[in-house]
Amino acid sequence: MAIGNLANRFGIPVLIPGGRFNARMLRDHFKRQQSAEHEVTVNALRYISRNTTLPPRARIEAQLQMAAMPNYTKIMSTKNRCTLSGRGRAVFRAFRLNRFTFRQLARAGKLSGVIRAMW
Amino acid sequence: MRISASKLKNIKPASVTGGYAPKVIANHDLLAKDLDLSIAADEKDAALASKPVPLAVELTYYKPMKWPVHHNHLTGDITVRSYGIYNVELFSDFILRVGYYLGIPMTGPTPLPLKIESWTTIRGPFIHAKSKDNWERKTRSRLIKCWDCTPEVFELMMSVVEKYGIPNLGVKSQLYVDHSLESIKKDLNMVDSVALKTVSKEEDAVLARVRELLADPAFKRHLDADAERVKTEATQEHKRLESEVDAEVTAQV
Repeated sequence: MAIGNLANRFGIPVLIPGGRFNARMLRDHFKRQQSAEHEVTVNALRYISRNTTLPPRARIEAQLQMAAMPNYTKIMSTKNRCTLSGRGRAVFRAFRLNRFTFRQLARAGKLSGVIRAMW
Repeated sequence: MRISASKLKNIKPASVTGGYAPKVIANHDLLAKDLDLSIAADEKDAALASKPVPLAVELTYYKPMKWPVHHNHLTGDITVRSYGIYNVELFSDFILRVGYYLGIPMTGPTPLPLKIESWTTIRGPFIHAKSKDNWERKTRSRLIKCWDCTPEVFELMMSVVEKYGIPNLGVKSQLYVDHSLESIKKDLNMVDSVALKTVSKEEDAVLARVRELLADPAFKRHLDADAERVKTEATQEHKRLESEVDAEVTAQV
């Protein structure tokens, strides 16, 4: 698939990640970009909806507007994925690598300081 | 080759220091203890011993020398850390030598607690899933404290340390600077009182967006309606009180 098609896959232009990536990595990448873009608006709406000094109708309006926003604008929809394999399960936070990728690299001695534990 | 006592007496810290610099090294208490002259002949080969060697090179065969701490004024500290012990020890030693030639009294290197991170992976996805691999990463660190020198000298030392840094090794430094109470007051006066209220730039952006949203017709109509309601209620309450007062006056008459 051409890069041009990928960039418009979600209807909104998305920056393509560097290196090797798959569809799930691209989707997560898109969500991160969009949630960063809408962060200020989401926080402002949350501020209004939780502010008890404002009239209840204005607060409900804020809640409705928040609910009407697409899911990809919420930071909670992102998931930490393996940066090499793209797998979404068993990802070690310290390396941003999946357990299998981590083990392969560690066995090859490519992770600085990581050794087989002995005690 | 051994260092003669007369040679040792002539060692002086570089004149660029500006920090504390005792002139005669013979007064140095630590020197006699640290500099074990007897080990020199064992560690070096005969060829080296026959050639003249610069004193600074000669001294690398001994423990790093240190100036004594006189005023107990902590200027800064340096933390060196890495995953292997060799580089940590080597670089701590180097920092102590740099500090010595800049005339900075230093203490350390003090070993800091060993940080062990560990991870467990399964060996295979199916029949070997119960068999595990344990991995670990040990971070060793050393703390060096610098005393009785000016911030300029400390920064000069750090620039040298940075220049000769080695891979896979982290160096973190902290510089403690004293300020007079007057200068702090002056700084506080300069800060805008409005700026003090908002904590961060991000929060500022959010508050600006909140103002923008509340000015939007979707929100503004609710705010206006609420203001109207409050106003009507206040008028009604006022009227009620007035009528009550009127009734009382009429009753009294």
